[in-house]
Amino acid sequence: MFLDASPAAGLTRRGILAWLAAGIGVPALARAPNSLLVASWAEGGQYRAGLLQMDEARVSVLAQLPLPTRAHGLALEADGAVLVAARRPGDWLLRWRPDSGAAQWHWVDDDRRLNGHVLPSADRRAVWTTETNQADAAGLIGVRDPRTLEKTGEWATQGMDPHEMLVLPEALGRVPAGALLVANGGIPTQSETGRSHRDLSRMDPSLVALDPASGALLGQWRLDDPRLSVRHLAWDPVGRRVGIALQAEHDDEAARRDAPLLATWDGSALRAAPPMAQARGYGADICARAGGGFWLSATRANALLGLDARGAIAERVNLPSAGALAARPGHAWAAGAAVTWHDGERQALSAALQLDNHWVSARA
Amino acid sequence: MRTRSRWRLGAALALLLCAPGALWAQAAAPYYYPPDAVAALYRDHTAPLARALAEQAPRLVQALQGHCAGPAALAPARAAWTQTALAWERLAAVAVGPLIERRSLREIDFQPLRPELLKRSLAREPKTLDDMERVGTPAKGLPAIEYLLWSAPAAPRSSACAYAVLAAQAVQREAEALRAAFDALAAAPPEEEAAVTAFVEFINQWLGGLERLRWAGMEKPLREAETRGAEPAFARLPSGQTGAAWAAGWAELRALARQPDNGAPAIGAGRVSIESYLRGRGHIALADRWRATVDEADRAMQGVQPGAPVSVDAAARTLKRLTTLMQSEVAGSLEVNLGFSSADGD
Repeated sequence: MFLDASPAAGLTRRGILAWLAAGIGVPALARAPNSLLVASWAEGGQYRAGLLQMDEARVSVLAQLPLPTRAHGLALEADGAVLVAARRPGDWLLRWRPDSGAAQWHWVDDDRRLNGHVLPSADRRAVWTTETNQADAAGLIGVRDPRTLEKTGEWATQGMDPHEMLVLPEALGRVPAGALLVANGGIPTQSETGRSHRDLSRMDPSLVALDPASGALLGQWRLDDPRLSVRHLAWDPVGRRVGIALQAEHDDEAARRDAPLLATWDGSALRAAPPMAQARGYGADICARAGGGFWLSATRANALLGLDARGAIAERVNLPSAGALAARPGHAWAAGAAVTWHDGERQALSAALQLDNHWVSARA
Repeated sequence: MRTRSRWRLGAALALLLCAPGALWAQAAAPYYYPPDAVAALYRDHTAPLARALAEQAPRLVQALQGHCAGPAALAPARAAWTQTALAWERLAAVAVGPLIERRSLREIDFQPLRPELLKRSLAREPKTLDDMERVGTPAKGLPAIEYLLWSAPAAPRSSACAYAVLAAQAVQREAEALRAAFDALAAAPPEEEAAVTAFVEFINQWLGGLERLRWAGMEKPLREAETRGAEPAFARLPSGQTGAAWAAGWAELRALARQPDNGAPAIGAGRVSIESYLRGRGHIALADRWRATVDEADRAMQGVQPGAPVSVDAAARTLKRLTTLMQSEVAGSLEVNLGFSSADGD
């Protein structure tokens, strides 16, 4: 979710700007000072991915593509193409070029299912996807040819239910810069029962760091509470730590209701924030917050939480069904039901357009 | 149980007293509880369908043994495969209980078949069922036998023919295990909390079965073919049984979704459909819409032809409406939390 000033991210924005300048059917955008976000959503029973423009008062759709099923994670490539992964258990991967409208589909027909997140490697030699082996529910990173999206290899994530990935932008503890961090959600599933969570007593969430060239395990960290599923990741360049959005899976309703939605990792330890009263156990997305710390969407609490570097709630913004988050240095965007939020301002969003859990900032 | 009976009587009286006259007939469905629905599911649905599969599977083994012993007798073997596959489709349409625990869908019907893996497995010439245990699921089960009967017919006395017999024996063994497990469930269905869990599983797996038919069976091959510029690779194409397989699965999904024309069954007297359960609980308007949506899907499924993508697309769209109605309204009225297609993004 976080587009920092890394070469890859800079190229991504340049790529987007290049095709905007080249004219994509919406040439005025190349000059517009507004926010651009790549997102997926449902509208009138149809799932779509597309490019949204956010001005001071409203959000409008600039370009879009129908999807066969619900999407989940998105990522920008250096040339402005958008990668979209099907929601877990997913069986398609899409590369969409908003400039030409060209779509490159990749269908998963082996004994694997996508877990909803996709990420191009920093050196552009691979596209990574989080996946599950349906035979034994083991977590995998699918290593894919960046041109064809065909699988060229697989790495074990040393856990179940791997979800979002993040390339560590700088060395932290003994983990080198460029390491691939993977959130193993740890929730047991079975192909016959789709998305259903099974036998939660076997939950084993963890954060792992993998060598980005070989997939070798560099480290693995667990929280004390195995019922906190680690799912989404963001880098805080000020606090120099990774924030992890959590989802609580406790049997006890009160434990779920007040569970912490944030954990942080500083390169040596993974720590859960203090309990969050009435946060209702579901952190949908996370991104960096200006000045340090994180924004975290607490969907079931209808709130956007501003968290300091230690995980304490510094700010609480009412945002119905808060979900997708994106950030660039000094700026943040959040999506809710019929409304979006950008640096403290609200914009109207068509109620018919139900944004999914993630979006990516292309330009501010 | 006594408490449940009191609640049942009270709820039924309240329902009848509140129902306008014209709705009396429809509202006459009993007030079912999860143990009623689950007991009926196991007794009147899964157990007879598992028995039918277990009766059919040995016939496939015998027909293949006859063909493999020579002289060639492909036609009876193909007919036996077809009957076994359709019996399987009916049982697996709503995969509950032992079908999940035993992972029978993978064991009997892994899709799609991996022809290259099958060729490598054939080259190893397994001799016993224990040898077959070491063969990967993508190279055995009904799809592998279909391949050896249609795509590359195994000649009598060939090692491929012996492989087909072993694969059929493995299907027979799994079918027999399913029959025993579902008979046991029918004889002693779960009660109280365990029944609620089983009911939640039933509704989730009904939806999962519908989505397996709609998306994995029909729409995904269609969309994939569109993007690849190829013909849709539907399951059961080699045998020409794609349409029959869809019809068999849909018939069972429909039977568990729609109340029979002669009304809701008394408790203990037949399968409790989702519609009947809704009516029994007083969700009359929703039950009417659900029934109409099922009927709309049924009409589309009656007209579907795998060779006519437009008809497949149309049928898949009507099935999607059923999925949407289940997710948006019906599951909530059944007091079931959907795990299969949870509204949560992840």
